[in-house]
Amino acid sequence: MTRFTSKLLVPFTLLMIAAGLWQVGGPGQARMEQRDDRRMQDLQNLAAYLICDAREAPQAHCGTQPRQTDRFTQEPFTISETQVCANFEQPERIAELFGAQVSNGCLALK
Amino acid sequence: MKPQEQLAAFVQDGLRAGHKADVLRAALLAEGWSQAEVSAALDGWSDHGLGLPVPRPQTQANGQDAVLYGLMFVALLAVTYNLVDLGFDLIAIWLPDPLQDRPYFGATQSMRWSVALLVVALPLFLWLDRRAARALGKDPGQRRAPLRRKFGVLTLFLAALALLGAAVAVVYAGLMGVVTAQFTAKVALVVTIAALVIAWFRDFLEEAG
Repeated sequence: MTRFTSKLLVPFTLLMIAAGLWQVGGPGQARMEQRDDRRMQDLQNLAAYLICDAREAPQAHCGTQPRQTDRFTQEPFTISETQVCANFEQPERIAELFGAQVSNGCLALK
Repeated sequence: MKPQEQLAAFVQDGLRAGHKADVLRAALLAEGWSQAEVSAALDGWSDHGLGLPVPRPQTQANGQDAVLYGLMFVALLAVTYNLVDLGFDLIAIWLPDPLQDRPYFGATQSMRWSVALLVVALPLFLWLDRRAARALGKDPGQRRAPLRRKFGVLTLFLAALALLGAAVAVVYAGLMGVVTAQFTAKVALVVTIAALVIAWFRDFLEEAG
């Protein structure tokens, strides 16, 4: 066994792993992120459909109506004339990832 | 007969005829053989006062060595690369640079990959390192394994490249006026990891004798 490295490289790597896990969270956190990503996908589908529906007189070109409820909590998405909203578990994460598109869990219909 | 075989045969014949190694060396150098070639040829034989040159064992790379040291190299590379990658992500979060977007959430997948790779690659590296050390303990002849030395030298080469890259980045950032806390921490991380790898290399080659 290489002495010096075993004394320093191993604890250094373990420290980095611990810091990484502390920062990103465990499996529960990852599941939460995945649920939010899926919600966002549903919300985007719904927004695209509503925009299309508002523009096209016959709805045929807009495809089938996407789900209007949260697939995990069954809560209905909030739909208004200007935006569609969902209850995200980490709204600040969604806001950072999607920037100006999303505000307070709401996606603008434009 | 290949040139190296010719050289070995000449040295063997010369020693058998009672010529001193220095005389043979001078003759070969005068004919244009390189120092390294002459030394390698002369090192292949020893004189035990028998009046006959005694061949020294020549090492050859074998498949097992190739797998062992190849895997060790890949594992060490995976550990160092992911240490740097994970460290950069953490530094970018902990010491945000106002000129750059805050990467916190976008970096979580990358950090999870790094953690996953480190969790697998570090034990693999340690296991292979211990295995190589055990093999060395059982058979000191392993010290001559050429792949062992090549592996160590390649590791040093890459660590030196990382250090050079860090040095270039420091100069460039200085010229661009972007020597921020984040940047300094990243350079310190690269230097630390490169130093650890060089330290490992030093121990590794000391073991190799």
